[in-house]
Amino acid sequence: MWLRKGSKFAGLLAAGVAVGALALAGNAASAAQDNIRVKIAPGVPYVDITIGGRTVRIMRNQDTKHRLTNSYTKTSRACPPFCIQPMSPAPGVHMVGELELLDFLKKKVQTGKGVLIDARIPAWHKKGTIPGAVNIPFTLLDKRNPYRDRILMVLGAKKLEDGTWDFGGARELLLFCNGPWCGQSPHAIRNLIAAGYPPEKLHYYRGGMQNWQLLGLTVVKPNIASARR
Amino acid sequence: MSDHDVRKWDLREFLLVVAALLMVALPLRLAAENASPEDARVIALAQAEAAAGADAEELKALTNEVLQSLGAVTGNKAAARRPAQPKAQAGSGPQDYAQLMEALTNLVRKASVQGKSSKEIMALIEEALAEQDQATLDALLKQAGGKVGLRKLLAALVQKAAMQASADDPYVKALQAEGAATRVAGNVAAANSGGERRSIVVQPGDTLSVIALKVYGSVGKWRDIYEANRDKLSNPDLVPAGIRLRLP
Repeated sequence: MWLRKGSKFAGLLAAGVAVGALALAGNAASAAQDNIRVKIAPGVPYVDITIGGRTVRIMRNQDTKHRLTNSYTKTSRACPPFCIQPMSPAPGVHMVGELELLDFLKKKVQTGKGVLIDARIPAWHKKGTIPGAVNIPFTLLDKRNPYRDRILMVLGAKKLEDGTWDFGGARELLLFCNGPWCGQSPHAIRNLIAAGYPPEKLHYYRGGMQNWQLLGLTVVKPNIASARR
Repeated sequence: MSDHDVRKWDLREFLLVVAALLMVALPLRLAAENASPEDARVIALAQAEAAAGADAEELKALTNEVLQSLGAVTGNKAAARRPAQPKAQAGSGPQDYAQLMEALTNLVRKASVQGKSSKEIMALIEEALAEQDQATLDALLKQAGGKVGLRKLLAALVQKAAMQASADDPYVKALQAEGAATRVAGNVAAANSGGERRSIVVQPGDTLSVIALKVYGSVGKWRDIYEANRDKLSNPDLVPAGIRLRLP
């Protein structure tokens, strides 16, 4: 699988994204592209993702003079707890950027093979998140949480007779939180690994909401009542 | 636990989660001022029934309705009563699944209106599910797999689990505080509007609460509108007529 290629991972992924993204843009792009000055990448004006019957277009803010004015302009939150994170939260976990995340949404999330997880507590998540993400606060992946096992099962893990887990059918997960100064998704990743989740099925978008917004990418406010749809 | 058991448990869990979800969603919906005529009818009906002291019998009947629907999935009318049937034919279509969900919805809806506690309702459903045979559950699981996505299940679980989680941890407390103070205005689209941004022009006499009620059917959403328009509003009580507000 291309995700397990270790050092070749980045190159393969980049190629995959380029090819995949060109295909995403498709024919509609030729006309629309001319109007889109701030593209995601050359030939990729936007990415449409359809999840649960809803389509969201992910694109960048088209105002070339736009600057962030919200809380993500803060530079100095107290550390601890808001400390700078290492590139890798745990050995064997793949690090990804925005293009790889978009590719993951297209190839894994849309097809049900993967889950994009916003690992922040709801107080953050509800303010705005990446389209297609589900909120699984890192606190719920702690082994003391009685619901942790059920969450793992929904993610595709199977509990065996002897109480151990089979993660063979478990989905690939891509986790993020607020960005380089946020420990919530690294924490979630370590909790998952402690539960036995294979690191090669885990991806970490360190840029998080900080970099996502800095690039003017689409942020959605989760529809809390979406449970009813 | 065998592999088979895991699947069985999965489905029970799934239905319980659906039920839990309904219990959270329905009272909210019933309370909404813009309840549809259908809702109003059901509320009136349920209230009349409750007044007539029909609750215990009514719930029993509704539970049976759920069981009947479960039976319909396998074409086994007496599924509820019969012990394990190793090879029942799953002559099931999506409408059976819809039927079950409707029965489940009705049960939860009426039980909530009658003031049953969540615990009591869950006990009823759990009891009903405990009697199901494996073939019925497997058939249902198969249908449920495609129908109700993983995302909904996860959201429901998270909601359930979050109610239990305590925020005593100082780290979590610090996160809460910073998270609550965080603003994400600007390039934010509503998740349910396909990414398009919506807005409204304030009419004379409108307050944020009135707009929230008009747009979302819930007064409580005023804060979200306020948060989304902090660049225009310095005081949530002062909303000048004629300005255009973003709808989060």
